[in-house]
Amino acid sequence: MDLNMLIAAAILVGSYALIFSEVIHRTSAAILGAVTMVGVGMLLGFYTQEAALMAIDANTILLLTSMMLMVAMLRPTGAFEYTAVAIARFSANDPRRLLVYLSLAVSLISMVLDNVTTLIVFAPLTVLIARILQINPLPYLMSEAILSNVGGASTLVGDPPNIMIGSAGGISFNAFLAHMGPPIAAVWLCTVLLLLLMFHKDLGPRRDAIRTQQFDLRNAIKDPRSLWRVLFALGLVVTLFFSHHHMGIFPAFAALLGLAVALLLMRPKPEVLFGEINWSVLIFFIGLFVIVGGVEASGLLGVLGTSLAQLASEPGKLLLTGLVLMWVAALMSAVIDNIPFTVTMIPIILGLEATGTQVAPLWWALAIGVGLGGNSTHIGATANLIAVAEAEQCGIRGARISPLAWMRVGVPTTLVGLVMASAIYTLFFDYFLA
Amino acid sequence: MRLMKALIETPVARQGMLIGEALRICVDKDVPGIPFAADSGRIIGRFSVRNVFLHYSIPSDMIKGAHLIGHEAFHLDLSSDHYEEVFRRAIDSTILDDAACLASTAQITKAMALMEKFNSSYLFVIDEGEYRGVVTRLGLTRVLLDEQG
Repeated sequence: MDLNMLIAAAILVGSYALIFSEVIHRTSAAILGAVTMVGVGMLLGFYTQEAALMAIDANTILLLTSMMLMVAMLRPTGAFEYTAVAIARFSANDPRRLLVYLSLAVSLISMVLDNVTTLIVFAPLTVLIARILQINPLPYLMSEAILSNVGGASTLVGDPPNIMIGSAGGISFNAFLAHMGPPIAAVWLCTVLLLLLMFHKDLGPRRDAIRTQQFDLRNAIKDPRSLWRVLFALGLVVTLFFSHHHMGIFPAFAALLGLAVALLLMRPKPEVLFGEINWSVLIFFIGLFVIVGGVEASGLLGVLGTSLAQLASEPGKLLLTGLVLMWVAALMSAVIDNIPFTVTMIPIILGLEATGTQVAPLWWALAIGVGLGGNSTHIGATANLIAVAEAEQCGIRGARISPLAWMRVGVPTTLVGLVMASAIYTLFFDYFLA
Repeated sequence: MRLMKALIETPVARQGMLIGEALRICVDKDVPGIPFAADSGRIIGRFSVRNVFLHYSIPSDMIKGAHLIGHEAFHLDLSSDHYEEVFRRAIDSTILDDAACLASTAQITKAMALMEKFNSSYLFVIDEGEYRGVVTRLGLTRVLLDEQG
């Protein structure tokens, strides 16, 4: 390890310490780290401005931007409100059915759209439903957050780490779904059963009158024409996701194409629509890409990759490496933001690939680990924080979710999910090798 | 000085005043809010009727989903005990620091523009540091209508 590598590593560690300490906003910390990395790298000669720009994964950034804009156009139509209220009425006042239906809806939506946005819309609706039904919203908010994280882990576009992994590994939407879908479906089912068991006291049958008719479904859809237009564009995007690898287009361009159609059909006010983009998240990712690009340019990640290549050289060792990666990724994601961890791991796995190691199982292990790990603590995923905040401010007795209360539910569900995923990963390892 | 025709003189809110007392002033004077003054007499904020209800009585989930609540939902109102408890609290935690003020010499159009800018329906009239009273959008509209006979 030479001086350049040590300095690059020090900037990375310093930047991540600043990000996780929350002394300044994480996006500001990422920009500061990126600027430092480029400046120092140019001075020492291991990093250039061109290399820094090349390190930014445009596929990830454009895909995220496009999907944010699609959601921004879908949200005001009232589609989410309609779904939540229809589910509440469909559950026929049965708390257990309500929990399963709401969680299923949030999970399915999170497979295509950003789960954070889904939770931002669904969490207050869930509290309102609970308020009207006079039940505790806590089990519902926690289940929605946990299962939206699980659902999002199953697709290429369901979670930002998946977008990054898919982009770096050249993995198609279909391949992602084919490999992640079955284990995540099994994990989802186990998690729902476990949640029903853990919350059984709050989900007992209701004896009083059915209250679900107290929702006014007629007012839910605010703009039916816009709804159909944006759904058409979203349908086009999903269709393109399923066929992008046959057509030779990146997922980002599939999303951009759908976005272009939506913009043409909807003609939204640009100043309103573009104000809905979460610029902070996008710039945070760009900063991370530039920081990790500097470490990669210093040669440090290559050295790490070569060292790990010996560990993962045989199928038996590769399985073990994958399992270790999955559990370490889950552990890290429980306590820190899973994005920096994923961005750092990606070039290491790519470095392994350069040594001739079969890295396909490692991509899946990383995706499972970062996707499920965040559920164990309330700070492990942004969706969890939204659920906690909504529970806090609703003022309903018994609804507040303390960090310990989250862990009492989050840790067992995460452990069961990881054990289930590890078993499937081990039993069908040949499938994950493909 | 057309603004003065719409002026409603009110007392100011001060530290330690109860929410119930401040609300009573607003209701009696028919204004949506009154200024909050420091011990020195300087206006440093405002007491807003709307903010009291936002702060203590209307959950954010109900605001976001208000259009989804059916007419048959009869159990959502808060109890009179809740309101009694709220009205006995001091106003201090409900004070907003964005009191929009203007001089009595200002024109009605400027007053209306300020209300739009601050997303408010009322302003405080202050001349050389001295609080004169409240003008509301409805009050200004009344002046304009009266001038037309």
